[in-house]
Amino acid sequence: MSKIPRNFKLLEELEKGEKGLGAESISYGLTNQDDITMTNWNGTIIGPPHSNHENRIYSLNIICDEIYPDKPPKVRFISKINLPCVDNQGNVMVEEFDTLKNWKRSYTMETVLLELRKSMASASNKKLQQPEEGSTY
Amino acid sequence: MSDITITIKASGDKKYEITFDPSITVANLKEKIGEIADIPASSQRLIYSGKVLKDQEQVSTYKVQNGHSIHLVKSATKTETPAASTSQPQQPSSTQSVPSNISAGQGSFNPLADLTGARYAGYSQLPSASMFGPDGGMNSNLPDPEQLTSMMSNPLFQEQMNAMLSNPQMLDFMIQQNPQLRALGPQARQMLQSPFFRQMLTNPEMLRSAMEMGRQQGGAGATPSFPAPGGASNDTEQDTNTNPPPEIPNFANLFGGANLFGGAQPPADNRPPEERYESQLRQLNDMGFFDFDRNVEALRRTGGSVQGAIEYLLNN
Repeated sequence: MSKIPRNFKLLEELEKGEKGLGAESISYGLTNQDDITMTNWNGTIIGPPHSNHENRIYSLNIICDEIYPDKPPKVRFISKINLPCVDNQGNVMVEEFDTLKNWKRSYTMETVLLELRKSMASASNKKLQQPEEGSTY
Repeated sequence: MSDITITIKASGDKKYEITFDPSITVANLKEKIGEIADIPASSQRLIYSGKVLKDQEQVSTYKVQNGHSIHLVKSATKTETPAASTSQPQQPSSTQSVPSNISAGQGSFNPLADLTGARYAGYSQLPSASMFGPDGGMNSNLPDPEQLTSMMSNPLFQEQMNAMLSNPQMLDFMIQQNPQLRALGPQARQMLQSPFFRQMLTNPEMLRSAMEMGRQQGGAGATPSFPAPGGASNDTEQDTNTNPPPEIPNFANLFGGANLFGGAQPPADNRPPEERYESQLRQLNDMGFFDFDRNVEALRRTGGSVQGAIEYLLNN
């Protein structure tokens, strides 16, 4: 099977993000819409209900460099969050986050955001004390 | 600047089309949305392409284009149950892409809403329509003791019970629904969360004796009071397994109010499908659906609803 080239894949993701075709609980798009290299992306995760994240909106920065999607994107939280897979600068640590660690080419930014959200909602993480809402790294 | 039309996606699969001049500010847009979406502008938060829109900016600065979508999230209000976002599984087993609760976002908490979720599609043990009276209500408040016991020994049910009891919202709901519990105040909550209570609910033997006791005391209608959590439960904790104490109440009342027993986890029905769905199958046959296997499958998926089964049959 032939591989979908980076730009095709990212264009597809861009359209999905802008038109809101994907999941409702997350959103993503280019940081700067004139960025023809489609490298810098914004993401948001709407905090899962029944957790300490409820009603919060988390902003993230996603970098899809040249080797995306062969290698996972770099994901960084802009909003402060207390999550085991996030270091104290907001970076999502590849080794601690299964979706990045066992990256597959078929994964998308949507996959990453949804998996992060799932992790926020997981039994072990949902009651973690969270920094004040609106604080950033 | 010329007008653009965008889709506002709110929680619970609600969508609004809105046409406006993108040179207006985000605050103005929120007011417009407030008119159609019944959420005051002050508690709206808008997200586009991964960015939270700021009130003072013009919409055009975010380069929103015709046909695009903006997510609408209601922000937290302290006074009422927040209708947060959507579709988050409380059970780790449900997958991300299937909304576990299609009526999320309704504002008020409805414990039965879960049942309409897609994850229940295909459950073979949904209640057959025969359990419901002609008016759609249950024939009786509770299944008979045999059914109940088999239901209680069902691991799925126990799991559900545990999940339910560890969900504070659910507890609040139960307490609200039941005047006796409400009268107990905060103690009620403690009691429901106590391991003792949980054990009681998950021990079929115990339940059966409790039910029988209730029956002898005058049936489900009478209302022996629930044991006060302090004294009674401490006394009884030691001998729960061997000798259910007489104070064990007609606990079913607890659930009768919320109609959970009938609704939340139907008893396993082991009758063969032709018997279980007899009347529905006949109706389907009358309507010209002759394929027995498919009819049964359709009825299973829809929990015995003829209407639903027809839809399923026509769509597949």
